[in-house]
Amino acid sequence: MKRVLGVALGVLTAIGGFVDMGDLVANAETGARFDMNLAWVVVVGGIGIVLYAEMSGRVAALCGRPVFDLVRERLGPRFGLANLIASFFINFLTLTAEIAGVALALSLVSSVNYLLLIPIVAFLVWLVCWRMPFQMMERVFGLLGLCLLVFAVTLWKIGPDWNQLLSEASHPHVPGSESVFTYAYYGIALFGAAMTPYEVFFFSSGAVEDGWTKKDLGENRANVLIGFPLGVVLSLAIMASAHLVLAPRHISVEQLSQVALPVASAVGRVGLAVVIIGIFAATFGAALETALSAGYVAAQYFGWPWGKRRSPRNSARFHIVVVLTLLGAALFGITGVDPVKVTEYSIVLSAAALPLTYFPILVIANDPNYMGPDHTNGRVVNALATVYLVILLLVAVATIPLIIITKGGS
Amino acid sequence: MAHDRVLHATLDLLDRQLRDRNGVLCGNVDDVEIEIDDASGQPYVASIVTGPGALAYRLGLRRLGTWLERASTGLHDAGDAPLDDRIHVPIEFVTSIGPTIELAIHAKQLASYDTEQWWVDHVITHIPGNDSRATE
Repeated sequence: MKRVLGVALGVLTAIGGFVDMGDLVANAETGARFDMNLAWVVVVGGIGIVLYAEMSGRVAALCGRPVFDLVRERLGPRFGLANLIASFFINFLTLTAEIAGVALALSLVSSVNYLLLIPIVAFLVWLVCWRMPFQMMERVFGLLGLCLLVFAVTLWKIGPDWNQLLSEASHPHVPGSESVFTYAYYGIALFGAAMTPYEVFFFSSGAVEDGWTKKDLGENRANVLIGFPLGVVLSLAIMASAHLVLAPRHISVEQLSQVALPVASAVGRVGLAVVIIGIFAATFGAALETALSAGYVAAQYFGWPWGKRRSPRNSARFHIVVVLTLLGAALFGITGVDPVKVTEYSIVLSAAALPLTYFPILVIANDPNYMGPDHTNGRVVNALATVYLVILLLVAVATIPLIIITKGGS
Repeated sequence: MAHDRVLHATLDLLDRQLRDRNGVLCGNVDDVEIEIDDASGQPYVASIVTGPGALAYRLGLRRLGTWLERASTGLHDAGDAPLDDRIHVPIEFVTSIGPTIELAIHAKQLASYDTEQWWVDHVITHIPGNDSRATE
């Protein structure tokens, strides 16, 4: 059991990163609009986050330095600050969407307007940040998030032609009804969602919070290799079930509740209950991940004491940033902004900021002064990581023009 | 660490995390002060500069930086400070240079601690559960 719980950090990070508010909708939407033609992007993004999350966890275990610490150190104060502002802004948008997502999941069962639930949700997120021990947090929300595996059950219940599904996914093409630009836009959205920077902020800071040392390198690998592939599988299951159930009925996904439709139709009431718990846990987990990441990045850039391991009294500025960010996100959410739109923009924009976060990780993971002589990157990892850095750069350059050309994917 | 390792002030010092004598995080190396040795004419790192003033200065906000530095040097800590002021840490007080820079002083002796203390005194104290030990 201890072994199982040992991967809770990876599972929570991945569920909060892969199947949070943004991805739930993005996966279902692309499944309904593009069939399985964008499935490969989720796999490519998944491999990328496995590579870089493993590096960030390894650095954190060996020298106790989390990602944003490295960003400041390798990029210097100016580029570091630019990255801080960009990451903070993206984080803020994501947090707004997640809080709205939790509120929407709760409104499905309580039939109270979700806007009224936003302040309550924000308060609950703050309470967990303020009081709940880190390990308990990662276990509770990581395990509850596993309820989303009901999407895999859904897929199995539908009983599709697996060979056809696989061959569709492995022979991608731009569907006739879509342009190359919208295809690329949604591709970038999925890629940005898979490699969204708050995952490594949270994962590496969590490794420090969990007190990982050299002995935990195996645990790091297990977390990464179980957590993120699980996220990929969940993403693909959501995409495939939307493709099989929603596309034939010409339902396009615009709301969170529509994501749950395939489950309701294939598994019934129990499935619906389980999926709502799963959506609640995943969005709540992602809200925690982004709220804490806001504090992590600010504290690590300025060198303040940070972390849930320390009492709020001993990490005052960290907790102030967390509570102010939550307050701002709740206020923004209450204005009635469309959480689906907010989250779409946040994941696409995060694609533009990715290289500034991932480059310093790669540099430090090769520095024997940090890693010791035996634990720097091997050749294969470096080759792959370099390829991904090039992809990240290309994606970053293409993002803004694509937003303009496609008018936000419509 | 090997004794013959060459340290580069920009690479091995600047922007690194500082930790005080109890291991508490206490700011970053926001700048370094270099002096010229009278006897040999060689430049050396005389002290580490830390605090919002030094950071603002390095970000190019010179006027803000100077103002912040002046504001923080004015507030002398009457405690056990062997430091001349609260933003310069003489290199003698640096005990180790690695992924973090370890200092032989207390975090409270540095100007960057003031805002931390301000938030504790004015906000954190008034919220229940602020002392909860959020540990396993």
